[in-house]
Amino acid sequence: MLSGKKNKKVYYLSLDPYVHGAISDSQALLYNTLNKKVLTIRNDIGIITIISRLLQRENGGVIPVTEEELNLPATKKFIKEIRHHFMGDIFSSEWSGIKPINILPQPIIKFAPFSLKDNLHEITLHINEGPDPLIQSYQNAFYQFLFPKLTTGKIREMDLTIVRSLIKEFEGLPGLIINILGPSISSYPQIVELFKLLQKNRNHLKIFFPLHQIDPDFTRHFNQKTKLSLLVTYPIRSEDFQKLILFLHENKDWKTMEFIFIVRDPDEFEQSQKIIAQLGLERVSFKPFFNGHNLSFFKTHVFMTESDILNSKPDQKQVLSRYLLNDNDFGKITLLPDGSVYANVNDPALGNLEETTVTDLIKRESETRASWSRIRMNHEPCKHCVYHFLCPPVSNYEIFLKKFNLCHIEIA
Amino acid sequence: MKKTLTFKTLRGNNYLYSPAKNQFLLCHPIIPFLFLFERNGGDIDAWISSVQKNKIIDLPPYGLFPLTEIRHQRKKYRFLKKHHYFDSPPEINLNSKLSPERIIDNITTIKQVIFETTEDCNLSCTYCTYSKFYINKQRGKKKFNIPDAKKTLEYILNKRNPDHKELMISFYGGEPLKNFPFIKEIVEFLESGYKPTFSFKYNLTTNGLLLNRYASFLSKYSFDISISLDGDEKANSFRRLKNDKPSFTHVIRNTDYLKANYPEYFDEKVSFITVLHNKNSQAEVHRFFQSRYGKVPMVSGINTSNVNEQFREEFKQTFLSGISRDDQAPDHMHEMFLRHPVVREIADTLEKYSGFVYRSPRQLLARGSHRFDAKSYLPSATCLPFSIRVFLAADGSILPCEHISRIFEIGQIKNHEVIIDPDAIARDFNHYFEKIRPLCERCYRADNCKECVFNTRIETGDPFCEYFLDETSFARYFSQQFSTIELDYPLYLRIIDDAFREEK
Repeated sequence: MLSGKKNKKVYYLSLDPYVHGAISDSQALLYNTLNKKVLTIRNDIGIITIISRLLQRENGGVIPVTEEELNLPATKKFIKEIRHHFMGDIFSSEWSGIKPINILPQPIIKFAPFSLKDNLHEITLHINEGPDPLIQSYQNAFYQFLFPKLTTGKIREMDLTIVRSLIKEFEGLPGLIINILGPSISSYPQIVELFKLLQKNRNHLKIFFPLHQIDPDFTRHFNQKTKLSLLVTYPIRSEDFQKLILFLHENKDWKTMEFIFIVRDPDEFEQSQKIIAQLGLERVSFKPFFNGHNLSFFKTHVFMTESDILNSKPDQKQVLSRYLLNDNDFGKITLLPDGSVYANVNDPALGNLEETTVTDLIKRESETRASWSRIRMNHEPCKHCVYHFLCPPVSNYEIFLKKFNLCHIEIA
Repeated sequence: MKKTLTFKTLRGNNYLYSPAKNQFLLCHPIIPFLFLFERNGGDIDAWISSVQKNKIIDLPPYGLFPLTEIRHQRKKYRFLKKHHYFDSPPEINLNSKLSPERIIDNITTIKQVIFETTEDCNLSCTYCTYSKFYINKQRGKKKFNIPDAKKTLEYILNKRNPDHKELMISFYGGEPLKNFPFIKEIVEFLESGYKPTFSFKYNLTTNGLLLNRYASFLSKYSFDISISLDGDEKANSFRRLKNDKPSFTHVIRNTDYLKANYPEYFDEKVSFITVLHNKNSQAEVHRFFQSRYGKVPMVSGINTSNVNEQFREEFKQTFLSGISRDDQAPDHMHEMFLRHPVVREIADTLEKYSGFVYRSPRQLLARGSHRFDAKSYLPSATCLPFSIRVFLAADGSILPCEHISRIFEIGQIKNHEVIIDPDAIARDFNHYFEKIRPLCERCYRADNCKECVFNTRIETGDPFCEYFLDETSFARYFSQQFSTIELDYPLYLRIIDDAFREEK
């Protein structure tokens, strides 16, 4: 393993810069972002201490070890494993007169003057909000994923001047993703003008319709970059199902449509799968909906297990981004009909367009990054978990449930 | 095609830089051996099979290693190879062309107009770019003609994009204060004629000999003043009066006067420009200005471009031989931090080549790691004409900036007319870029160039770039920086903590 020369009994143990790691009280984890190998050490204080030293930034992934330490069976085994998984190496101090160094795998975003282009790529417009008796029980879905904002009051429409000023502010930006939602999109008073405005500037429009509101005539407003997403909720009325069959029959482009099945329990999940098979649907996704009574469904179907986390196998850039940003939220804003703007609808509004511009509000979020930088490392209990950088970014479910670990991991 | 390179630091540690991954890797000494062995046509497997079992193998200069270790490192080398550490990335495309439209657009948004107020100077510095050591037109005592200056300002301001309200007006020389009436008239012309449509900032680079006389006017208009001073009396000894006596005491007297009589203005608006040569050093200069004025000077090396070949040897002897090395002391690097050239270079390397510094959050979130997109770029780091500044010489020449030889004129002020031909300028610039491109295409630092095409002896038809780095010199460049980091890891940590933040 080492140089054949007579050694001076000091070696350097190094971790490669494509390896990331974390430690907790009685556990340590090393992850090789190239071959996705994971090394987990449990309850071995000696090795956990070595990993802890390797991860201390002032050591820069390189620590001196004596020959005595090297000859301890546990250390020997650990170094053998590290080398076997190409996570690091051992260097003799005889090869050089100084401790070698590593460039830390620590992401840095260089300061640059604010630019809208660098901070915005998706806008969600709730063009109206109000009641919809057929899906009223889904009121809290708005906080969990893209879903119309349901209220018990009267329908409230977004003033078209808001959209006009938005489009003016975003002129010259490369195409944005614009999501349109509302419990009553097709009855928006200036729908024709709204589409004309939003389809400018190479924007990609996505219209989210609850299934029962499906309107074959509505797609005439669409251009090539406009896509329809159907929100399928339960129970499905037979007339809505028939309407859907008719719609698919009449609409040549239905294959580009996305079907989002919103499920609360295993039965709804099973029903969804039957519908998908029956209609031969292609672009489908599932959104579990937490209704306050179905935590057990979430525990079984949503909570991540250790193997789910390990199988996600993020690459190094994904890992690095998780140290600084929330990829679910970054660059996205939501506007409600009253002009209030959110970086995440579960957080307080950034402000209201009656008082300021969207650009100013985005600038504010880009500086404070209250929502956009919601990372596991800053939240209990994830910050004590060795998997925190392997886990997907914090989701709206977690914020809504006020539970940052929708997983089955026991933090050691 | 840019290749992965391996380098060894002064103390002997081995690293590799992979342009495809844009990442540095500390590596076992056998890795560079295997990489170079294979690159030179060697068959690693055949070589390993030929080695006797249980043998210790001497791999000079890497060391003695048992066969088992070589076998393990072969696996690691292949692992890195599989993960693209030894791939060559797509080349940067340097085939862009400068268009006349871009030049026209630049004129409307230019940031700085520099007047050569007068050719005349009251100093006779040994290293002056108009001394025998440099190729340049002979200079007399011409003063900038006031009506021509006003005409030129009208030309620029009439075309100005109204969104670009602020314009910097700079007065340069010779010694600009030798033509103070010009400065006064231009300032008053702009203040009375173009405000508030536009706003103006003024600055002046002076040798300080006449500062006491005009301090009141300069402070009234909030001039940013840069005083050329190379440090203490010995350090400043290349800066001489016409009678060949040292200028130091005169400049210091006037600077002290400004500090004593306009203390707030001095604190806010006065800075120093220092040329480094063999009679001073970063560290000495830094100490001098800190202790005397509480300031940190802008430091640059002596200009080594456009040196007259006839006097090149004498130039080296006079200014460069025996340059001090005290600047490399760790304390000094910590003290000066990013103002220290070595620290700045390390920060630059980390930004461009470590793979861990991102221009924006979006870049961090984007998939893929290739540094070069399909876009085409212009070779070199030349500022495009009028993109930042323009230098208006007292003899009517219009030049891209004050540091560029008169032979690269981009227009003229003649018979009270401003003559700028964007087509001709674009043609000339593209011609220069064409000449330098082959060199840039071979340069490992082409994507992070710091050199202006006009400093590359482009006029000789045989360009030479001081900053050109081929594979060997690029490896040496990294080796120097890693050697510094090995000696002072806290400096590296400070750089990654502070160098990329907003400057306060």
